[in-house]
Amino acid sequence: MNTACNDRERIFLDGTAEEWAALEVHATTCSACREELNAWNNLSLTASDLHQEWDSPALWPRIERALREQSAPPRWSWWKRFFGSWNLISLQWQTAAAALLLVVLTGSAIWFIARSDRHRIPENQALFNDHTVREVEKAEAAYEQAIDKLDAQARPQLDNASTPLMASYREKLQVLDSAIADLRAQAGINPANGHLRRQLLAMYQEKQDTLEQVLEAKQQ
Amino acid sequence: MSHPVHYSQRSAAFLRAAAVLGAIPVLLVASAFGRRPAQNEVTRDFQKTVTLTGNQGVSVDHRLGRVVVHGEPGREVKISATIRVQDSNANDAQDFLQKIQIEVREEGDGVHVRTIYPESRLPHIRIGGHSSYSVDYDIAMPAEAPLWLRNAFGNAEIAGVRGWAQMENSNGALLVRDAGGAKLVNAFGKIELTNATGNCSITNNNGAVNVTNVKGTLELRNRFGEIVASQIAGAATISGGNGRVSLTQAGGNSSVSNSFGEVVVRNIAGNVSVTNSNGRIDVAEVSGGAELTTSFGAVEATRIGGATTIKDSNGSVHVTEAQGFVSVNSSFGTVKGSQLYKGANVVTGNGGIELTNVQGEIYAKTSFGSIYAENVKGKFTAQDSNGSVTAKAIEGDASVTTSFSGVSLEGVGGKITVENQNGAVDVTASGSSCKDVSLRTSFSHIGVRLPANAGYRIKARTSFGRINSQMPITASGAMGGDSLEGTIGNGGCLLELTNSNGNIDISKAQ
Repeated sequence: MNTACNDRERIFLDGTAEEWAALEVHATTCSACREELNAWNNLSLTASDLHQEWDSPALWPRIERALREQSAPPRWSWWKRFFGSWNLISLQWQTAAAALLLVVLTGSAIWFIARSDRHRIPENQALFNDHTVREVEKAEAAYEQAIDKLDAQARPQLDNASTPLMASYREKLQVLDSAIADLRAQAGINPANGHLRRQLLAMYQEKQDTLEQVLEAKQQ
Repeated sequence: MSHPVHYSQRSAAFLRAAAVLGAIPVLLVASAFGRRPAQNEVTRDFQKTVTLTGNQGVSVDHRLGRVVVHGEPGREVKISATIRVQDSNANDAQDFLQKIQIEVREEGDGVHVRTIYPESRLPHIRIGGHSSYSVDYDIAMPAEAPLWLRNAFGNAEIAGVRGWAQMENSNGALLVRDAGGAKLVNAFGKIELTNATGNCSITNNNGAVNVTNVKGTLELRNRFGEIVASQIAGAATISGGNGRVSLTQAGGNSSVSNSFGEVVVRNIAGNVSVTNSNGRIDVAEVSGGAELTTSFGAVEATRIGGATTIKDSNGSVHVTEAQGFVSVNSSFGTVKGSQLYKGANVVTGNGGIELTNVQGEIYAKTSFGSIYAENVKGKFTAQDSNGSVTAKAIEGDASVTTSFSGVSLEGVGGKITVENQNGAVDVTASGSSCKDVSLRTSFSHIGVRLPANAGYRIKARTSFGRINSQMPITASGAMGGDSLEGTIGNGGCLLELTNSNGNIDISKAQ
């Protein structure tokens, strides 16, 4: 076998016994190959000295258990058992799923619209139902929170009212507070009366607007 | 053989899935529409008819509900009421419903309708329910009969009641149309009055007021809310507070007072008086005079038939087409006037003055603003301290005093007098006949242009400047580098030019 220096790298990696023998014969006449071969042999000896072995008693049982579980029949959940036999990738099922999705979306839209419609405060209803009363109470609570925040900001300006405008705002807020107190008292004994609730919301709105005007005047 | 079995299994599975998934939107929709409150609402109707005689009227005393009253032909009063009670307990609801009474009393002055609610209805908390009530009225009454109405916590709507009506509401709107004379009072609700044949008085505390087409006079007060009034045949007296006021088309002397909102007035047949504290005033189309006062807002007055008097502290003033004399007193705003047919007297502290096309005399005074006048038929008098004075085409005499700025007068037909201290004086006299000219300044230049054929006796003096003349002067008396006495032409008028530290130039007007 004619072995060239160019083949020695390949022989080092995966050469056959015959190729190794041929390389060693060639190395006797080629100094470059001889040096490479000696270096490789030294490296192999050093590596074999570094080799260590230790016991791994738990490794194989773990691998064995994993293989056993993989080969055993799957333990399906109720949901998988329920839908397992349906062949969900068929065209028939895809069509059905699309139709159902459409129905669900339509139903959700109707539900959402109907629900948002119910959130509106009826304009002419004499007595509110429970749900509307709860919605109104939520709105009132939101107004009260907003008003408290605005009032905290505007209060120093109002308490030290040095201008006629601020004095006027303060007077207006007192008038509104009086009306709100009156309406709240009435709503306490007549909670679902539609007019009382609408009027109370209107007064809250006006108080909020007035406080915002006070703050705007302060900024100016 | 196995195919039918598989098909059957798949069909069953398909139907099962369709049933489960299809139920979802059905349940959603059902939940949206199907939820109803577990409240018991009970209703009772009340009906009663009585007949009025003579001058009898109708009185209604109500609260917690809506009242609708409408005038009808005939003498009958038809009272309809709907009583509603809502409660989580049906028996309680029915019991409370029966306790709400509609009292109808017939007395000498007419029919008295009153709603009586059970007393001591204390607040109580129940799980899942509220106890509430309301009474709504619909009353038909003779259109010409008087009406007294008092309502609270509900809207009141009155239509076609042409007898005298007094209506008082609180916490609800008061809506009146096709009325006679009326007195309307409200608190915390708007008032709307449309078409009234008599005099009307309206008082509101906190709500908008809108009045249209009143054949009589209108007296209107509102504390916190906008006012809009139009088509008032008689005089209108409006007192606003913290909202905008608009008055359009009033048939008599009208007045508007307001505190913190714009006032707009249009088409007044008579005099108008507007007093505002902190808002703009805009008045136009007034056949009589106008007195307009505000503190912190601009004033616009247009097409005023009589005298116009404006007082403003901190806003600009603009007057256009005033048939009468215009008097403006301002502190910190610009004053502009044009087409003033009887002249103007304008005094301002720190604003400029601009007056054009004035038929009469002008007196303009400011301290820290400029004065500009053009096309003035009468006399022009300007007093300024720190602003320039410019005037063109003045047919009458011109008299100007200022201290620290320039004076420029062009085309003055009458006598010219300028007293300046630290500003230049530049004057062009006009007219075929000469008028006396007296110009004085201390630390600037004096330039005067005279008509070519005019004759003057000239007296010019400056301490640290030169006297130059393009016109031939026949010297008389003392003549030096800093003083000159002599005559131009026939020497008919006096030309007195006095300076201290500036040149004096005499030239021919172009």
